[in-house]
Amino acid sequence: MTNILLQAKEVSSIKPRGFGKKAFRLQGINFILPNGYIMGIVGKNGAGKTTFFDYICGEKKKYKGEFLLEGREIFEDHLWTLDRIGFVSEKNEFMDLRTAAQNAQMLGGFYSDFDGELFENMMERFCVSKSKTVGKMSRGEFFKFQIAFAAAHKPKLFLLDEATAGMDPVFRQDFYGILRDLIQNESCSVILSTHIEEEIERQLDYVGVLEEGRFISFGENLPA
Amino acid sequence: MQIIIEPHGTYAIYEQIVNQMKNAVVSGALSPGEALPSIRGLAAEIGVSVITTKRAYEELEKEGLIRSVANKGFYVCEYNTDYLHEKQLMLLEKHFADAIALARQAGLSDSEVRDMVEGLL
Amino acid sequence: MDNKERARREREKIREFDKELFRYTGQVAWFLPGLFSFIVLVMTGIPLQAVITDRGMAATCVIMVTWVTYFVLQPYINVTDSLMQRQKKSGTWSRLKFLPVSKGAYRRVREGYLFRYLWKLALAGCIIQCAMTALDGGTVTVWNFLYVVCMLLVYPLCMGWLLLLTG
Repeated sequence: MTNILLQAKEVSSIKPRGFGKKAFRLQGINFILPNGYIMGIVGKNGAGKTTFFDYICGEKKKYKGEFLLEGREIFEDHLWTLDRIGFVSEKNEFMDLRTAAQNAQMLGGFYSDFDGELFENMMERFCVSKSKTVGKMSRGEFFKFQIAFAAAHKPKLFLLDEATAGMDPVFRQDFYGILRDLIQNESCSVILSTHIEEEIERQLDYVGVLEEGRFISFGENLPA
Repeated sequence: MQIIIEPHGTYAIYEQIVNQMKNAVVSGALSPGEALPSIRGLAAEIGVSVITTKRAYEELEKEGLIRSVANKGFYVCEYNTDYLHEKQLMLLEKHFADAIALARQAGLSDSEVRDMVEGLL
Repeated sequence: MDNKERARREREKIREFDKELFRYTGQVAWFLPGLFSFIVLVMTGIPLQAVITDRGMAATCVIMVTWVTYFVLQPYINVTDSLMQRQKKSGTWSRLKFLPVSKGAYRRVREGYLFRYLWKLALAGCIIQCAMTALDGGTVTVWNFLYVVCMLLVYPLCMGWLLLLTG
């Protein structure tokens, strides 16, 4: 029926749990995310949320078990995987001295299908000027730029790392509206991480609660 | 029809949707055979997750109020007479109960209530 | 071959990206490699015999060549962003690491640029070394060539490979 976009099968860190380490390594992660839904990973800082994204986007396979994107292990051909993922994070680096448009033009070329026009349309919709220097963008603008850039190469999976931290409530509503639009035609899904409890709002379809590297719960989100 | 969600209410959001749709069917706001918004369309309209509206529609379908047509969407069921009838009876019973309570408040005895009803019928 | 084609296209994309990257690199960035290259060429003018006997000379040559390599590679490894000092010391690769481009291809392309620069330097060095050796009255042997090639080609290429591995 619904096609599965991402599936995690017993994903665990290869290295043993580190003591006194900043973040917990993941252990026994299992879940299924179908196409066209928003999944939230909720957990305290250090619970392993960023590690989760690192496992997917990192250069080397640091886990045992499988992450299957459209049925294919993501490290079988990692470039194929990265072509299908849009990763948005505060820690992402761009060409700080150049404008948003220049960044899109220079970096977008690496994707197999980058739609410059779509990028411009989204920037317009977010009311962020494409001539703005990336290094001078506010946190909110930087995230909007990243989302526009990611959307332009039509990924199958959006990964948003703490995108809503520090977001004002007005924009947060708009933000979820944007995410809904992205997944409307069920061609992609979104995974976002947050440490804010109230984020488990009615907008998330699936919620996984991460604690010390394990999902203590994962399932459909049916809030009151 | 408008669906209004009460966040942090006693009922889960999907339950609120189910209830409001049921009432709409009973009251006639939703007519038999009428097309309903798609799961995603409704989710976008109200501003809730797709899982929520999906679950609501599943519940309504289980109760026989709506049905899904492949590739077309959801429609209000045509022949709900049994369900509607039952609902009407329940409503009637409730009205009677309220009236009786009022009567008791006004100080009427049981036989006086019966007389009043007979007079009205 | 699909894979070969993919690899070729990937390198092409990296070169396209680099072209844009260097567009705003002023003459300043190329000044330092040029300067050190000049110094090195002057040093290749010293006949091999003199270099072998004088340890200090040899050491200085090696140091100079090291500097040349480092400054030639700088514009490719660090983004022109770092014309002004930024708190986070990051390189070009950190901008590319989440993009569908492999670090291997990225390094190979840069090694290519380095090689293109170095072989010309080595050629010039060979000519100078031979000329000066002859003028000095010595005989030009294969060792002269080997010395120049090692100093101006092999050693810098290895250095470059190491730098790219880490940066």
